[in-house]
Amino acid sequence: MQDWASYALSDFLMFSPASYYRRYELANADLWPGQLLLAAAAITLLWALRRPGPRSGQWAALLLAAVWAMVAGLFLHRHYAQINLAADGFALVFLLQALLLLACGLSPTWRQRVLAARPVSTRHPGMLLFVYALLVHPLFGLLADRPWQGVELFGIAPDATALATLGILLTGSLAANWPLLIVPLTWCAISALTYLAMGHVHGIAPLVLAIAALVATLFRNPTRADNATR
Amino acid sequence: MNRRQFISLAGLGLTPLPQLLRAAVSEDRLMRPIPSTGERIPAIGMGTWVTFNIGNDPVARAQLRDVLRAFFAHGGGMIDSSPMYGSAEAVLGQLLPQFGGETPGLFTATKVWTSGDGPSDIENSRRLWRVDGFDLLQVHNLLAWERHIETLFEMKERGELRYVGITTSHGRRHRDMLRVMRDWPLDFVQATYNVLDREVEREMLPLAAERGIAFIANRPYRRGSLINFVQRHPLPAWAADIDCPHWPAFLLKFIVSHPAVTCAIPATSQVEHMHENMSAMVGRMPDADTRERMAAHVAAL
Repeated sequence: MQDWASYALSDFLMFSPASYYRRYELANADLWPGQLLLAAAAITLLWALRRPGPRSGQWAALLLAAVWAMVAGLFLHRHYAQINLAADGFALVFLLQALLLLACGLSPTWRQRVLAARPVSTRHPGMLLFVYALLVHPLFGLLADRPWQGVELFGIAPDATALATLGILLTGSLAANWPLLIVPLTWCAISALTYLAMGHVHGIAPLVLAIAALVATLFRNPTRADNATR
Repeated sequence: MNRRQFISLAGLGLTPLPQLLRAAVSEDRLMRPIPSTGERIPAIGMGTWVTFNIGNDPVARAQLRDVLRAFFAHGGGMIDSSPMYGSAEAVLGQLLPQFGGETPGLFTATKVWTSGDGPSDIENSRRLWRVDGFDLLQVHNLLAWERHIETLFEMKERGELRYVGITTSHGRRHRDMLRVMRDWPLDFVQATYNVLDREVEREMLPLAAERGIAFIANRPYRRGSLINFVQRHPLPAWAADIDCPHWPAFLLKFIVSHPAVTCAIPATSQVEHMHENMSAMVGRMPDADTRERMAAHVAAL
Protein backbone atom coordinates (compact mmCIF):
# COMPACT_ATOMS: atom_id res chain seq x y z
CA MET A 1 0.00 0.00 0.00
CA GLN A 2 2.83 2.31 0.93
CA ASP A 3 4.49 1.44 -2.38
CA TRP A 4 1.42 2.37 -4.41
CA ALA A 5 1.02 5.64 -2.56
CA SER A 6 4.52 6.65 -3.64
CA TYR A 7 3.61 6.55 -7.34
CA ALA A 8 2.67 9.69 -9.20
CA LEU A 9 -0.09 9.57 -11.80
CA SER A 10 2.48 10.11 -14.53
CA ASP A 11 4.36 6.98 -13.44
CA PHE A 12 1.52 4.90 -14.86
CA LEU A 13 1.74 6.55 -18.24
CA MET A 14 3.65 4.20 -20.51
CA PHE A 15 3.58 6.33 -23.67
CA SER A 16 4.50 9.87 -24.62
CA PRO A 17 1.90 12.50 -25.52
CA ALA A 18 3.31 12.58 -29.05
CA SER A 19 2.80 8.86 -29.42
CA TYR A 20 -0.74 9.14 -28.04
CA TYR A 21 -1.73 11.90 -30.46
CA ARG A 22 -0.21 10.00 -33.36
CA ARG A 23 -2.86 7.31 -32.72
CA TYR A 24 -5.49 9.73 -34.03
CA GLU A 25 -3.50 10.50 -37.15
CA LEU A 26 -3.01 6.81 -37.86
CA ALA A 27 -6.66 5.94 -37.18
CA ASN A 28 -7.87 8.79 -39.40
CA ALA A 29 -5.58 7.67 -42.20
CA ASP A 30 -6.80 4.10 -41.81
CA LEU A 31 -10.45 5.05 -42.10
CA TRP A 32 -10.31 7.61 -44.87
CA PRO A 33 -12.70 8.21 -46.69
CA GLY A 34 -14.93 6.57 -44.07
CA GLN A 35 -15.08 9.93 -42.28
CA LEU A 36 -17.66 10.96 -44.87
CA LEU A 37 -19.97 8.21 -43.65
CA LEU A 38 -19.40 9.34 -40.08
CA ALA A 39 -20.32 12.88 -41.05
CA ALA A 40 -23.51 11.53 -42.62
CA ALA A 41 -24.25 9.61 -39.43
CA ALA A 42 -23.71 12.75 -37.35
CA ILE A 43 -26.05 14.78 -39.59
CA THR A 44 -28.65 12.02 -39.38
CA LEU A 45 -28.50 12.12 -35.60
CA LEU A 46 -28.75 15.89 -35.58
CA TRP A 47 -31.78 15.68 -37.85
CA ALA A 48 -33.36 13.09 -35.56
CA LEU A 49 -32.92 15.46 -32.62
CA ARG A 50 -34.55 18.37 -34.40
CA ARG A 51 -37.19 16.48 -36.41
CA PRO A 52 -37.85 13.23 -34.57
CA GLY A 53 -40.02 10.66 -36.29
CA PRO A 54 -41.68 7.57 -34.86
CA ARG A 55 -38.61 5.39 -35.43
CA SER A 56 -35.91 7.98 -34.75
CA GLY A 57 -35.07 6.55 -31.34
CA GLN A 58 -34.55 3.11 -32.82
CA TRP A 59 -32.31 4.33 -35.62
CA ALA A 60 -30.33 6.59 -33.32
CA ALA A 61 -29.62 3.71 -30.95
CA LEU A 62 -28.55 1.42 -33.78
CA LEU A 63 -26.34 4.10 -35.32
CA LEU A 64 -24.69 4.83 -31.99
CA ALA A 65 -24.16 1.10 -31.41
CA ALA A 66 -22.29 0.85 -34.71
CA VAL A 67 -20.20 3.92 -33.88
CA TRP A 68 -19.19 2.58 -30.45
CA ALA A 69 -18.24 -0.76 -31.96
CA MET A 70 -16.10 1.03 -34.51
CA VAL A 71 -14.27 3.10 -31.89
CA ALA A 72 -13.64 -0.13 -29.98
CA GLY A 73 -12.21 -1.91 -32.99
CA LEU A 74 -10.46 0.80 -34.94
CA PHE A 75 -9.13 3.20 -32.37
CA LEU A 76 -8.90 1.31 -29.09
CA HIS A 77 -7.93 -2.16 -30.29
CA ARG A 78 -6.11 -1.50 -33.53
CA HIS A 79 -4.23 1.66 -32.60
CA TYR A 80 -4.36 2.55 -28.90
CA ALA A 81 -3.63 -1.01 -27.74
CA GLN A 82 -0.29 -0.74 -29.53
CA ILE A 83 0.95 1.60 -26.82
CA ASN A 84 -1.38 1.03 -23.88
CA LEU A 85 -1.69 -2.41 -22.32
CA ALA A 86 -5.10 -1.44 -20.90
CA ALA A 87 -6.62 -0.35 -24.22
CA ASP A 88 -8.01 -3.76 -25.14
CA GLY A 89 -9.87 -3.69 -21.84
CA PHE A 90 -11.28 -0.30 -22.78
CA ALA A 91 -12.29 -1.76 -26.14
CA LEU A 92 -14.32 -4.47 -24.39
CA VAL A 93 -16.13 -1.83 -22.34
CA PHE A 94 -16.91 0.10 -25.52
CA LEU A 95 -18.27 -3.08 -27.07
CA LEU A 96 -20.46 -3.53 -24.00
CA GLN A 97 -21.85 -0.05 -24.59
CA ALA A 98 -22.42 -0.95 -28.24
CA LEU A 99 -24.39 -4.04 -27.14
CA LEU A 100 -26.48 -1.96 -24.74
CA LEU A 101 -27.28 0.51 -27.50
CA LEU A 102 -28.07 -2.36 -29.86
CA ALA A 103 -30.45 -3.79 -27.29
CA CYS A 104 -32.12 -0.37 -27.02
CA GLY A 105 -32.44 -0.18 -30.76
CA LEU A 106 -34.08 -3.56 -30.91
CA SER A 107 -36.23 -3.24 -27.79
CA PRO A 108 -39.79 -2.07 -28.54
CA THR A 109 -40.11 -0.36 -25.16
CA TRP A 110 -36.77 1.39 -24.84
CA ARG A 111 -36.00 2.73 -28.26
CA GLN A 112 -38.22 5.79 -28.10
CA ARG A 113 -36.52 6.96 -24.94
CA VAL A 114 -32.97 7.19 -26.34
CA LEU A 115 -34.04 10.40 -28.02
CA ALA A 116 -36.61 12.96 -27.03
CA ALA A 117 -39.96 12.28 -28.70
CA ARG A 118 -40.36 16.00 -29.43
CA PRO A 119 -37.95 18.37 -31.24
CA VAL A 120 -35.05 19.28 -29.00
CA SER A 121 -34.33 22.91 -28.31
CA THR A 122 -30.99 24.21 -29.54
CA ARG A 123 -30.47 25.42 -25.97
CA HIS A 124 -30.93 21.98 -24.41
CA PRO A 125 -27.70 20.98 -22.56
CA GLY A 126 -27.70 17.65 -24.38
CA MET A 127 -28.00 19.33 -27.76
CA LEU A 128 -25.19 21.75 -26.89
CA LEU A 129 -22.98 18.88 -25.78
CA PHE A 130 -23.73 16.97 -28.98
CA VAL A 131 -22.83 19.93 -31.19
CA TYR A 132 -19.71 20.59 -29.12
CA ALA A 133 -18.58 16.99 -29.62
CA LEU A 134 -19.11 17.18 -33.37
CA LEU A 135 -17.72 20.61 -34.16
CA VAL A 136 -15.74 22.15 -31.29
CA HIS A 137 -13.95 19.25 -29.64
CA PRO A 138 -12.01 18.33 -32.81
CA LEU A 139 -10.59 21.87 -32.94
CA PHE A 140 -8.83 21.56 -29.58
CA GLY A 141 -6.00 19.59 -31.11
CA LEU A 142 -5.47 22.26 -33.76
CA LEU A 143 -5.26 24.93 -31.07
CA ALA A 144 -2.54 22.86 -29.43
CA ASP A 145 -0.56 22.86 -32.70
CA ARG A 146 -1.37 19.26 -33.49
CA PRO A 147 -1.71 18.47 -37.20
CA TRP A 148 -5.19 18.51 -38.70
CA GLN A 149 -4.74 14.89 -39.72
CA GLY A 150 -5.08 14.01 -36.05
CA VAL A 151 -8.42 15.71 -35.37
CA GLU A 152 -10.53 13.81 -32.88
CA LEU A 153 -13.72 13.02 -34.72
CA PHE A 154 -16.99 11.55 -33.59
CA GLY A 155 -16.94 7.86 -34.51
CA ILE A 156 -13.15 7.54 -34.33
CA ALA A 157 -12.03 9.32 -31.17
CA PRO A 158 -13.46 7.95 -27.90
CA ASP A 159 -13.80 11.38 -26.23
CA ALA A 160 -15.82 12.91 -29.04
CA THR A 161 -17.94 9.76 -29.33
CA ALA A 162 -18.62 9.60 -25.60
CA LEU A 163 -19.61 13.28 -25.48
CA ALA A 164 -21.86 13.07 -28.53
CA THR A 165 -23.57 10.00 -27.13
CA LEU A 166 -24.08 11.63 -23.75
CA GLY A 167 -25.53 14.66 -25.47
CA ILE A 168 -28.10 12.56 -27.31
CA LEU A 169 -28.99 10.49 -24.26
CA LEU A 170 -29.50 13.61 -22.14
CA THR A 171 -32.23 14.75 -24.52
CA GLY A 172 -34.20 11.55 -23.89
CA SER A 173 -35.59 10.07 -20.73
CA LEU A 174 -32.92 10.11 -18.01
CA ALA A 175 -34.96 7.66 -15.97
CA ALA A 176 -34.73 5.16 -18.82
CA ASN A 177 -31.32 6.07 -20.23
CA TRP A 178 -29.23 6.13 -17.06
CA PRO A 179 -27.62 2.70 -17.67
CA LEU A 180 -26.35 4.04 -20.98
CA LEU A 181 -24.68 7.01 -19.30
CA ILE A 182 -22.28 4.93 -17.21
CA VAL A 183 -19.74 3.94 -19.85
CA PRO A 184 -19.48 7.37 -21.54
CA LEU A 185 -19.06 9.12 -18.19
CA THR A 186 -16.51 6.55 -17.03
CA TRP A 187 -14.59 6.98 -20.25
CA CYS A 188 -14.53 10.77 -19.79
CA ALA A 189 -13.02 10.21 -16.33
CA ILE A 190 -10.40 7.77 -17.67
CA SER A 191 -9.53 10.16 -20.46
CA ALA A 192 -9.20 13.06 -18.01
CA LEU A 193 -6.77 11.01 -15.90
CA THR A 194 -4.75 10.17 -19.01
CA TYR A 195 -4.45 13.82 -19.96
CA LEU A 196 -3.54 14.80 -16.42
CA ALA A 197 -0.84 12.13 -16.41
CA MET A 198 0.47 13.65 -19.64
CA GLY A 199 0.46 17.07 -17.99
CA HIS A 200 -2.15 18.37 -20.44
CA VAL A 201 -4.75 19.86 -18.14
CA HIS A 202 -7.03 20.94 -20.98
CA GLY A 203 -7.84 17.25 -21.44
CA ILE A 204 -10.22 17.32 -18.48
CA ALA A 205 -12.60 19.51 -20.53
CA PRO A 206 -14.71 16.56 -21.79
CA LEU A 207 -15.30 15.32 -18.24
CA VAL A 208 -16.17 18.79 -16.97
CA LEU A 209 -18.52 19.44 -19.86
CA ALA A 210 -20.18 16.03 -19.53
CA ILE A 211 -20.86 16.56 -15.83
CA ALA A 212 -22.01 20.13 -16.43
CA ALA A 213 -24.44 19.00 -19.13
CA LEU A 214 -25.76 16.21 -16.91
CA VAL A 215 -26.30 18.55 -13.97
CA ALA A 216 -27.87 21.21 -16.19
CA THR A 217 -30.27 18.63 -17.60
CA LEU A 218 -31.22 17.37 -14.14
CA PHE A 219 -32.01 20.89 -12.95
CA ARG A 220 -33.65 22.01 -16.16
CA ASN A 221 -37.28 23.13 -16.11
CA PRO A 222 -38.73 20.98 -18.91
CA THR A 223 -41.97 22.91 -19.26
CA ARG A 224 -40.35 26.29 -19.76
CA ALA A 225 -37.68 24.89 -22.04
CA ASP A 226 -40.18 23.00 -24.15
CA ASN A 227 -42.29 26.09 -24.51
CA ALA A 228 -39.25 27.93 -25.69
CA THR A 229 -38.96 25.65 -28.71
CA ARG A 230 -42.42 26.47 -29.97
CA MET B 1 38.20 11.35 -29.84
CA ASN B 2 38.09 14.88 -28.54
CA ARG B 3 35.04 16.98 -27.84
CA ARG B 4 35.17 18.77 -31.18
CA GLN B 5 35.26 15.48 -33.08
CA PHE B 6 32.50 14.23 -30.87
CA ILE B 7 30.23 17.17 -31.53
CA SER B 8 30.83 16.82 -35.25
CA LEU B 9 29.05 13.49 -35.06
CA ALA B 10 25.74 15.31 -35.25
CA GLY B 11 26.49 15.98 -38.88
CA LEU B 12 27.22 12.38 -39.77
CA GLY B 13 23.64 11.21 -40.01
CA LEU B 14 23.85 10.39 -43.70
CA THR B 15 27.13 8.49 -43.60
CA PRO B 16 26.77 4.75 -44.29
CA LEU B 17 26.43 3.05 -40.94
CA PRO B 18 29.43 0.67 -40.90
CA GLN B 19 31.74 3.49 -41.96
CA LEU B 20 30.18 5.76 -39.38
CA LEU B 21 30.63 3.19 -36.65
CA ARG B 22 34.26 2.63 -37.44
CA ALA B 23 34.92 6.35 -37.66
CA ALA B 24 33.08 7.60 -34.63
CA VAL B 25 33.42 5.21 -31.72
CA SER B 26 35.62 6.85 -29.17
CA GLU B 27 38.49 4.70 -28.02
CA ASP B 28 38.70 6.56 -24.74
CA ARG B 29 35.04 6.55 -23.84
CA LEU B 30 34.27 5.56 -20.29
CA MET B 31 33.96 1.79 -19.99
CA ARG B 32 33.09 0.04 -16.78
CA PRO B 33 33.76 -3.58 -15.77
CA ILE B 34 31.00 -5.98 -14.81
CA PRO B 35 32.50 -7.19 -11.53
CA SER B 36 31.41 -10.83 -11.84
CA THR B 37 33.29 -11.37 -15.13
CA GLY B 38 35.46 -8.34 -15.75
CA GLU B 39 33.72 -7.72 -19.10
CA ARG B 40 33.80 -4.01 -19.86
CA ILE B 41 30.72 -2.18 -21.12
CA PRO B 42 30.13 1.48 -22.04
CA ALA B 43 29.06 3.55 -19.05
CA ILE B 44 26.14 5.08 -20.93
CA GLY B 45 23.45 2.75 -22.17
CA MET B 46 19.90 3.38 -23.25
CA GLY B 47 16.52 2.87 -21.62
CA THR B 48 13.35 2.30 -23.63
CA TRP B 49 10.54 3.13 -21.17
CA VAL B 50 8.01 5.36 -22.98
CA THR B 51 10.39 6.37 -25.77
CA PHE B 52 10.28 3.05 -27.64
CA ASN B 53 6.59 2.39 -27.00
CA ILE B 54 5.46 3.77 -30.32
CA GLY B 55 3.61 0.78 -31.78
CA ASN B 56 3.43 0.46 -35.53
CA ASP B 57 3.95 4.15 -36.25
CA PRO B 58 6.28 4.20 -39.27
CA VAL B 59 7.33 7.83 -38.74
CA ALA B 60 8.30 7.26 -35.11
CA ARG B 61 10.10 4.04 -36.02
CA ALA B 62 12.22 5.85 -38.58
CA GLN B 63 13.08 8.44 -35.95
CA LEU B 64 14.09 5.76 -33.47
CA ARG B 65 16.22 4.03 -36.08
CA ASP B 66 18.22 7.25 -36.27
CA VAL B 67 18.44 7.35 -32.48
CA LEU B 68 19.82 3.81 -32.46
CA ARG B 69 22.22 4.69 -35.25
CA ALA B 70 23.58 7.54 -33.15
CA PHE B 71 23.74 5.28 -30.11
CA PHE B 72 25.91 2.70 -31.86
CA ALA B 73 27.92 5.39 -33.61
CA HIS B 74 28.97 6.68 -30.21
CA GLY B 75 29.86 3.20 -29.03
CA GLY B 76 26.79 2.60 -26.92
CA GLY B 77 26.26 -0.86 -25.49
CA MET B 78 23.45 -1.66 -23.10
CA ILE B 79 19.86 -1.38 -24.25
CA ASP B 80 17.42 -2.03 -21.44
CA SER B 81 13.76 -2.86 -21.97
CA SER B 82 10.89 -4.83 -20.46
CA PRO B 83 7.75 -6.65 -21.55
CA MET B 84 5.93 -4.10 -19.42
CA TYR B 85 6.99 -1.30 -21.76
CA GLY B 86 4.20 -1.90 -24.27
CA SER B 87 5.53 -2.25 -27.81
CA ALA B 88 9.15 -1.34 -26.91
CA GLU B 89 10.54 -4.84 -27.30
CA ALA B 90 8.75 -5.36 -30.62
CA VAL B 91 10.06 -2.03 -31.88
CA LEU B 92 13.61 -2.97 -30.92
CA GLY B 93 13.11 -6.31 -32.67
CA GLN B 94 12.05 -4.54 -35.81
CA LEU B 95 14.83 -1.94 -35.78
CA LEU B 96 17.93 -3.81 -34.59
CA PRO B 97 18.03 -6.26 -37.53
CA GLN B 98 18.08 -3.25 -39.87
CA PHE B 99 21.65 -2.64 -38.77
CA GLY B 100 22.68 -5.89 -40.44
CA GLY B 101 24.74 -7.10 -37.50
CA GLU B 102 26.57 -3.78 -37.27
CA THR B 103 25.70 -3.32 -33.62
CA PRO B 104 29.11 -3.65 -32.01
CA GLY B 105 28.98 -3.96 -28.27
CA LEU B 106 25.21 -4.37 -28.12
CA PHE B 107 24.35 -5.63 -24.66
CA THR B 108 20.75 -6.80 -24.51
CA ALA B 109 18.97 -6.41 -21.19
CA THR B 110 15.32 -7.00 -20.46
CA LYS B 111 13.14 -8.07 -17.57
CA VAL B 112 10.82 -10.81 -16.45
CA TRP B 113 7.15 -9.94 -16.50
CA THR B 114 6.19 -9.70 -12.89
CA SER B 115 2.93 -11.59 -12.80
CA GLY B 116 3.36 -14.10 -15.58
CA ASP B 117 4.88 -17.46 -16.33
CA GLY B 118 8.61 -16.69 -16.34
CA PRO B 119 9.97 -19.05 -19.01
CA SER B 120 7.21 -18.36 -21.53
CA ASP B 121 7.46 -14.60 -20.94
CA ILE B 122 11.22 -14.73 -21.48
CA GLU B 123 10.75 -16.70 -24.68
CA ASN B 124 8.17 -14.19 -25.84
CA SER B 125 10.60 -11.34 -25.17
CA ARG B 126 13.34 -13.17 -27.07
CA ARG B 127 11.06 -13.57 -30.10
CA LEU B 128 10.07 -9.91 -29.95
CA TRP B 129 13.68 -8.74 -29.77
CA ARG B 130 14.63 -11.27 -32.49
CA VAL B 131 17.78 -12.30 -30.67
CA ASP B 132 19.21 -15.74 -29.89
CA GLY B 133 19.40 -14.92 -26.20
CA PHE B 134 19.82 -12.08 -23.75
CA ASP B 135 22.95 -10.81 -22.08
CA LEU B 136 21.05 -9.78 -18.98
CA LEU B 137 17.66 -10.74 -17.58
CA GLN B 138 16.33 -8.96 -14.52
CA VAL B 139 13.40 -9.52 -12.21
CA HIS B 140 11.26 -6.45 -12.73
CA ASN B 141 10.45 -4.43 -9.63
CA LEU B 142 11.09 -7.46 -7.41
CA LEU B 143 7.55 -8.77 -7.70
CA ALA B 144 7.41 -12.58 -7.51
CA TRP B 145 11.19 -12.43 -7.43
CA GLU B 146 11.63 -15.68 -5.50
CA ARG B 147 10.07 -17.67 -8.33
CA HIS B 148 11.65 -15.77 -11.21
CA ILE B 149 15.17 -15.55 -9.84
CA GLU B 150 15.50 -19.33 -9.65
CA THR B 151 14.42 -19.56 -13.28
CA LEU B 152 17.05 -17.01 -14.27
CA PHE B 153 19.88 -18.73 -12.41
CA GLU B 154 18.87 -22.05 -13.99
CA MET B 155 19.03 -20.41 -17.42
CA LYS B 156 22.44 -19.01 -16.59
CA GLU B 157 23.58 -22.47 -15.46
CA ARG B 158 22.48 -23.93 -18.78
CA GLY B 159 24.34 -21.23 -20.69
CA GLU B 160 21.16 -19.61 -22.02
CA LEU B 161 21.82 -16.34 -20.22
CA ARG B 162 24.97 -14.47 -19.31
CA TYR B 163 23.91 -12.31 -16.38
CA VAL B 164 21.14 -12.20 -13.75
CA GLY B 165 19.83 -9.09 -12.07
CA ILE B 166 16.98 -7.46 -10.17
CA THR B 167 15.46 -4.03 -10.56
CA THR B 168 13.47 -1.41 -8.76
CA SER B 169 12.85 2.27 -9.36
CA HIS B 170 11.69 5.45 -7.64
CA GLY B 171 13.53 4.42 -4.45
CA ARG B 172 11.08 1.64 -3.63
CA ARG B 173 11.75 -1.64 -1.83
CA HIS B 174 15.40 -0.94 -1.16
CA ARG B 175 15.32 -3.10 2.01
CA ASP B 176 14.22 -6.07 -0.08
CA MET B 177 16.79 -5.27 -2.75
CA LEU B 178 19.57 -5.24 -0.20
CA ARG B 179 18.41 -8.57 1.20
CA VAL B 180 18.41 -10.20 -2.24
CA MET B 181 21.82 -8.69 -2.96
CA ARG B 182 23.18 -10.33 0.20
CA ASP B 183 21.50 -13.70 -0.36
CA TRP B 184 21.97 -14.31 -4.09
CA PRO B 185 25.03 -14.19 -6.36
CA LEU B 186 23.59 -11.44 -8.53
CA ASP B 187 25.50 -9.98 -11.46
CA PHE B 188 23.46 -6.76 -11.70
CA VAL B 189 21.12 -4.57 -9.71
CA GLN B 190 19.17 -1.67 -11.18
CA ALA B 191 17.72 1.22 -9.21
CA THR B 192 17.04 4.92 -9.49
CA TYR B 193 20.07 7.14 -9.08
CA ASN B 194 20.55 10.74 -10.12
CA VAL B 195 21.87 14.00 -8.75
CA LEU B 196 18.76 14.45 -6.59
CA ASP B 197 17.74 10.86 -5.84
CA ARG B 198 20.80 9.68 -3.94
CA GLU B 199 19.44 7.19 -1.44
CA VAL B 200 21.36 4.31 -3.06
CA GLU B 201 24.61 5.99 -2.05
CA ARG B 202 23.99 5.09 1.60
CA GLU B 203 23.74 1.29 1.38
CA MET B 204 23.04 -0.10 -2.06
CA LEU B 205 26.06 1.21 -3.93
CA PRO B 206 28.51 0.28 -1.15
CA LEU B 207 26.96 -3.18 -0.94
CA ALA B 208 27.13 -3.56 -4.73
CA ALA B 209 30.82 -2.68 -4.61
CA GLU B 210 31.43 -5.04 -1.70
CA ARG B 211 29.55 -7.95 -3.27
CA GLY B 212 30.88 -7.39 -6.79
CA ILE B 213 27.50 -6.54 -8.32
CA ALA B 214 27.20 -4.24 -11.31
CA PHE B 215 24.88 -1.26 -10.79
CA ILE B 216 22.57 0.18 -13.47
CA ALA B 217 21.20 3.66 -12.75
CA ASN B 218 17.68 4.23 -14.06
CA ARG B 219 15.69 7.47 -14.17
CA PRO B 220 18.85 9.60 -14.55
CA TYR B 221 16.67 12.54 -15.60
CA ARG B 222 13.60 11.63 -13.53
CA ARG B 223 11.82 10.83 -16.76
CA GLY B 224 12.68 14.21 -18.20
CA SER B 225 11.41 16.39 -15.38
CA LEU B 226 14.89 16.86 -13.89
CA ILE B 227 16.44 17.90 -17.17
CA ASN B 228 13.53 20.21 -17.90
CA PHE B 229 14.03 21.80 -14.51
CA VAL B 230 17.78 22.34 -14.64
CA GLN B 231 17.70 23.61 -18.20
CA ARG B 232 15.84 26.66 -16.99
CA HIS B 233 19.10 27.65 -15.29
CA PRO B 234 22.50 28.43 -16.75
CA LEU B 235 25.13 25.73 -16.60
CA PRO B 236 27.79 26.71 -14.02
CA ALA B 237 31.02 27.91 -15.57
CA TRP B 238 33.03 25.31 -13.67
CA ALA B 239 31.20 22.56 -15.58
CA ALA B 240 33.76 23.18 -18.33
CA ASP B 241 36.45 21.81 -15.98
CA ILE B 242 34.82 18.39 -16.27
CA ASP B 243 34.07 18.72 -19.99
CA CYS B 244 30.34 19.25 -19.60
CA PRO B 245 29.14 21.50 -22.43
CA HIS B 246 25.48 21.06 -21.46
CA TRP B 247 23.22 19.86 -18.66
CA PRO B 248 22.72 16.27 -19.90
CA ALA B 249 26.47 15.64 -19.69
CA PHE B 250 26.52 17.30 -16.26
CA LEU B 251 23.74 15.08 -14.90
CA LEU B 252 25.05 11.87 -16.45
CA LYS B 253 28.66 12.43 -15.46
CA PHE B 254 27.52 12.83 -11.89
CA ILE B 255 26.05 9.33 -12.07
CA VAL B 256 28.65 7.38 -14.01
CA SER B 257 31.55 8.89 -12.11
CA HIS B 258 30.43 7.13 -8.95
CA PRO B 259 32.92 4.28 -8.54
CA ALA B 260 30.21 1.66 -7.93
CA VAL B 261 28.05 2.62 -10.91
CA THR B 262 28.46 0.48 -14.01
CA CYS B 263 26.02 2.07 -16.41
CA ALA B 264 23.34 4.75 -16.66
CA ILE B 265 20.41 4.23 -19.03
CA PRO B 266 18.86 7.52 -20.15
CA ALA B 267 15.98 7.19 -22.60
CA THR B 268 15.37 9.45 -25.54
CA SER B 269 13.55 9.56 -28.86
CA GLN B 270 15.62 12.47 -30.19
CA VAL B 271 18.89 12.04 -32.07
CA GLU B 272 20.21 15.32 -30.73
CA HIS B 273 19.57 14.19 -27.17
CA MET B 274 21.34 10.92 -27.87
CA HIS B 275 24.42 12.85 -28.97
CA GLU B 276 24.24 14.82 -25.73
CA ASN B 277 23.77 11.73 -23.59
CA MET B 278 26.66 9.88 -25.14
CA SER B 279 28.97 12.86 -24.71
CA ALA B 280 28.95 12.09 -21.00
CA MET B 281 31.24 9.13 -21.70
CA VAL B 282 34.14 11.24 -22.89
CA GLY B 283 36.41 13.85 -21.36
CA ARG B 284 37.29 14.50 -17.74
CA MET B 285 35.13 13.01 -15.01
CA PRO B 286 34.32 14.64 -11.68
CA ASP B 287 36.13 13.47 -8.56
CA ALA B 288 34.38 12.95 -5.23
CA ASP B 289 34.60 16.61 -4.21
CA THR B 290 33.33 17.83 -7.54
CA ARG B 291 30.45 15.36 -7.38
CA GLU B 292 29.39 16.87 -4.06
CA ARG B 293 29.64 20.31 -5.58
CA MET B 294 27.46 19.19 -8.49
CA ALA B 295 24.79 17.79 -6.19
CA ALA B 296 24.82 20.89 -4.00
CA HIS B 297 24.55 23.14 -7.03
CA VAL B 298 21.50 21.35 -8.44
CA ALA B 299 19.85 21.09 -5.02
CA ALA B 300 20.20 24.85 -4.61
CA LEU B 301 18.58 25.71 -7.96
